[in-house]
Amino acid sequence: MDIAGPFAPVLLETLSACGAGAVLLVDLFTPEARKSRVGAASLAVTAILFLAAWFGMEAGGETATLFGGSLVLDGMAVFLKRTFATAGLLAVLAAIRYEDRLPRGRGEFHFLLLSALTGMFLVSSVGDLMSMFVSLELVTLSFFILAAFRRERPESVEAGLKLLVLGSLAAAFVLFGTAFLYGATGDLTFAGLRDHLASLRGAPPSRDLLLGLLFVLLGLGFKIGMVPMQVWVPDVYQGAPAPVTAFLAVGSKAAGFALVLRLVTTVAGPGTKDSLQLLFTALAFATLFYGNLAAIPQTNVKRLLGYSSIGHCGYLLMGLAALGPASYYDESAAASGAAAILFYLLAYALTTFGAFLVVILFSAATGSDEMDDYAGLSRRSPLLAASLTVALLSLAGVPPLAGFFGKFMLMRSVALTGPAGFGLLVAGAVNVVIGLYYYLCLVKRMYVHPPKDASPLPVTGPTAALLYALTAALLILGIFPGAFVTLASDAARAAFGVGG
Amino acid sequence: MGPELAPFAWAILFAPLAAAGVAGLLVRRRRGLAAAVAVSGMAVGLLCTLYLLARSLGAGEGEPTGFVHNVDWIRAGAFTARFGVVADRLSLLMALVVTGVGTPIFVYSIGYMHGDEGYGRFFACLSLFAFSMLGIVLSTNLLQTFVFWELVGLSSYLLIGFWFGKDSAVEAGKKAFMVNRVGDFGFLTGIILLCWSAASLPSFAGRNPLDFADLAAFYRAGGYEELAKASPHLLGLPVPALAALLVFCGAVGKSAQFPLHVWLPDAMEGPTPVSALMHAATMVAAGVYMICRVFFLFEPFPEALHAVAWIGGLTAFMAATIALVQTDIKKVLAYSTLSQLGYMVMAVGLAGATAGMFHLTTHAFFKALLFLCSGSVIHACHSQEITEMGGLRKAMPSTFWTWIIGTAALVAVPGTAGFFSKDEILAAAAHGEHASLPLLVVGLVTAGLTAFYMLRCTALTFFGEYRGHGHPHESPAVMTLPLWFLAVPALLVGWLGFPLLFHGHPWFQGEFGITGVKVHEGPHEFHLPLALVGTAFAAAGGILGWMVFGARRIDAAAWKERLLPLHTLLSRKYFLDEFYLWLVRTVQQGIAECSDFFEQNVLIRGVVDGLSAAVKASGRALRELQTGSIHTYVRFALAGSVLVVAWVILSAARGGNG
Repeated sequence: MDIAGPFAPVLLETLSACGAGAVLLVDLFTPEARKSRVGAASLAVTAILFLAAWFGMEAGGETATLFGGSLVLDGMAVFLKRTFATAGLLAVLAAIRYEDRLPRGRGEFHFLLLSALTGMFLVSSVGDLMSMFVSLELVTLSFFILAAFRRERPESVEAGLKLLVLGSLAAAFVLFGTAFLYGATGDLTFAGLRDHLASLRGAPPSRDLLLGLLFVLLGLGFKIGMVPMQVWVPDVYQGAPAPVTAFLAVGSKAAGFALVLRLVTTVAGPGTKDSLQLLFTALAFATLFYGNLAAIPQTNVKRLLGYSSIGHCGYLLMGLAALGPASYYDESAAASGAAAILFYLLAYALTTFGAFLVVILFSAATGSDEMDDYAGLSRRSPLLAASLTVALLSLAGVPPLAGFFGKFMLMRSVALTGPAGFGLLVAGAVNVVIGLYYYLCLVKRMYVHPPKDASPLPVTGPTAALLYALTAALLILGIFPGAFVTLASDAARAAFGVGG
Repeated sequence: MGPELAPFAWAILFAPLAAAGVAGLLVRRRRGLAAAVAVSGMAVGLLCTLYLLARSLGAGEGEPTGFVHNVDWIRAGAFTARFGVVADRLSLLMALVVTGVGTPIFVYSIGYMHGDEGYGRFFACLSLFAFSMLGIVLSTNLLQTFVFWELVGLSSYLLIGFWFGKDSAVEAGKKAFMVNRVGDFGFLTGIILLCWSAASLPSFAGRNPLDFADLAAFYRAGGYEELAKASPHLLGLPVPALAALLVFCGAVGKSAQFPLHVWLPDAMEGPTPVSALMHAATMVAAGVYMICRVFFLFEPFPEALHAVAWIGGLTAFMAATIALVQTDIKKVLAYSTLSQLGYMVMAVGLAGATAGMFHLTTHAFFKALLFLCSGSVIHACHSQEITEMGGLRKAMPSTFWTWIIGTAALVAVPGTAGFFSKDEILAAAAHGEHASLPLLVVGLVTAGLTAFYMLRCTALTFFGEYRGHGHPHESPAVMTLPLWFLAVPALLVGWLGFPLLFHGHPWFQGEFGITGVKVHEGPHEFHLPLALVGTAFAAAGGILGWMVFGARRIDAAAWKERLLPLHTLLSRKYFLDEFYLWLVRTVQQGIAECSDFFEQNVLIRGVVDGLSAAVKASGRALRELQTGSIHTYVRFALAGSVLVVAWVILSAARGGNG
């Protein structure tokens, strides 16, 4: 459906940037007593974006480029934009349930959410290294402020500061790597990088190029929470306001992976397969075990979800380890790895918001994020306990939920790479068990332990409907994944240049 | 008719699910609304079934009488699992049984469950059951069948244990679940064996090894011979025959055939409408339906069919003998159900799908009717013991007359539904392709026993003097109307199968099912002498029963003394429950204790505790990294990055030099 003419490739970006401005205006002209209108305006913007992304864009359309190749709209970009639009809508829905606790600046809060979302839309379709840096920083800068938004709480300020310092470090890595890449190839576009590698005809790339790639990857590793760049995750997750944490967990991770996928689909070739597979296998190993092991002794729910998000980054890295080795290489295995990542990101977005929504509602009612206070939740509010349980089981990868099918696809793509992937498969399976342990510990608290305070926690109608919808989405994505898998596979195959 | 009618078939399946969701989640507390939603879900299913059946029966010459509509469910590489609906005459007949018997039972439950605490839950579970059952009926492949098979098991568990405050109900629910598990294990093994062996054949390429239509087409093209040749014999049987028998195991569990029949009598702990719907008319018939659906698996292997027929015959006879001495009205009917299920299975083994399905259909109507009558009686007397009843004929005229109609059909009085379907089974045993004299004798003797125990039960319940407490009165109209509604088909539905009337009618021409089940394989005629012999056996049993318990010309107590060992054997149900208990308590418990010792001391103390201590310790160690100080974090990130970069560059350099 062509509703934007030549601007179709940047339709969502334009809409969300204008929407962000509009929200600020609404805030300006709304009296203090009616500030809930700001949230409604923001919700309207994201709802339009959601509809435009899922129903106004063609997934299998022609690849379109804009601004001399710095923006690309292909199947993968469309899939990612749909994921981001979903995450944005859920983030605003969560924020509306949180904003009463903001002392001031509702308008700015929503504005920043939308500007981060604009950055994510841009990230999905970057075509060169400069636009990559700029759009990535748009996301990161918005999150600096969002994380520190509750200035009266030291944890929140601390979270913003940590994000800022370590984020700057990561930005330096990305820029440094970009400089090396430019030096090695004389080009900033992904297409130029691809042509340069193709001209090598299977020979290993120069050391400068390799260094450049590594630095960019490590810089992006900060966004996705990959070892060794993961240290900020638990502190920021715990300190930032819960809707921000959820959006950060989903948006930052997906944005980082979008760029890593772009980069890797560009540079993956006969000369680089072996190193890439080795690198990602090692990183997946380290990230999986770090995230899941360190989650075990946690006592705070947000922190637990922070560590578990590092673990999920490890699972997602498994999809990149499916790239090689060259001797066994099969384009469709690599594409299935990328498709698995895309599907997993969508499933992870829904699951994470399902979990965080309960965390937000629970802390709004009790003022606590401590796991011990979740004791007996099933008796205080069966709906909250059941929704959180379904989300946790989906995170753990229990069938028939969305998370199960995502993990299944990732593991399958690793299995397709032959014996080289065996060790990683075992590690993945072991980590699923560890994950199940700490998720079930929380479930056990909710269902088995007696509540300290037995007063019921009422859930209002719209919120209950939202919880039902998210739970249903997790079930649908797990039981009827077919349509979404097809979308993800088509996008990934196109990105790898595999026919059909 | 073609796939353009698929929405109707999907509606049959999903209307009860929607009703279950609404009744269970949204309006559970609003009693009337929950019941109304459940009844309308079922009614929608009934109407859609009737419409599709009319279209199928009205299909013109050369026009297909059924269709299949599939959607891809799971696709993973070469493996595709589908989810679909099949609407052919076989599935639609079964759907008609489920919805046609189900709708009056749902209505009846409004009255029967009146005042129960779990009213909404009851209707939600009942609708869930209807969804699961219709899922089996409309399934297009083995995997989907298995999924719904388990769902039916679940809803049966939920409903048997509906009054979960009562220990015996909880125990019965568990027993049904566990015993079915044994059969399901065989079923699943059979599915896997079949798919695995079929999928490995090159000539099978392009087909789906789970799909009924694909498998049937393959078998009809002689694929079973190839299958038998391609793989070694297991347990002395060719693989496809073994797979067929394993699949039959599932039916043995669900349709409560010997030796897995022990759960069904206990399942009567559930509310009576549940007994009528699930444990008499539909769920227990699922096994029979399933064998009919996959009859092509059995057809080429006479030894497999033989085994099926004998299991059925044995069940029919054994259950009928136990029914002779039961004093609980629902237990009498339960054993009678077992016996009739045995007849159906025997029919499939002897004569194929149509005879079995015919008896299934007639039985569903008259047995559901009898159960609902018994429910009405229990509702009035607050007791299930027939020794505490008597003389209810006058107090409950509607219940009495509908009971008489149901009994006549069960006893196979000429002209009633049961007569025609039972006659067809006896005819198959006497004149069919796989005719067998011993099985004919079993069938005839069982017919006599059936008449005996039914007359005994009727006489003790409805005649003589009332021996219970209080003053029994007729049930409300919401309960008696469904009785009359079911009495009509119990009388008349058999005429459809009367060969002299409908033989050669276009309704009975052509394909019965998409899997190539033919209507009336071989010539079927009405055998007057055989019908007379069958009726004579029934009459003899009936007259004897009446002499002992109705007219009291023969002293029951004296004969009981004289035949005491036999009576004990029967009232203890051939000691099978005791045998199973011994098996579980002594043999299995012994093994379990050995495993437990090994697990506690070696696995848990050694491996698990050791591992978890190691994991927790490493978790705590990693946590130490998280000091909260931003200096540490930057140092960690930089050190890690240096390590990664150094490793990659060095290994690349080494690779380049080597």
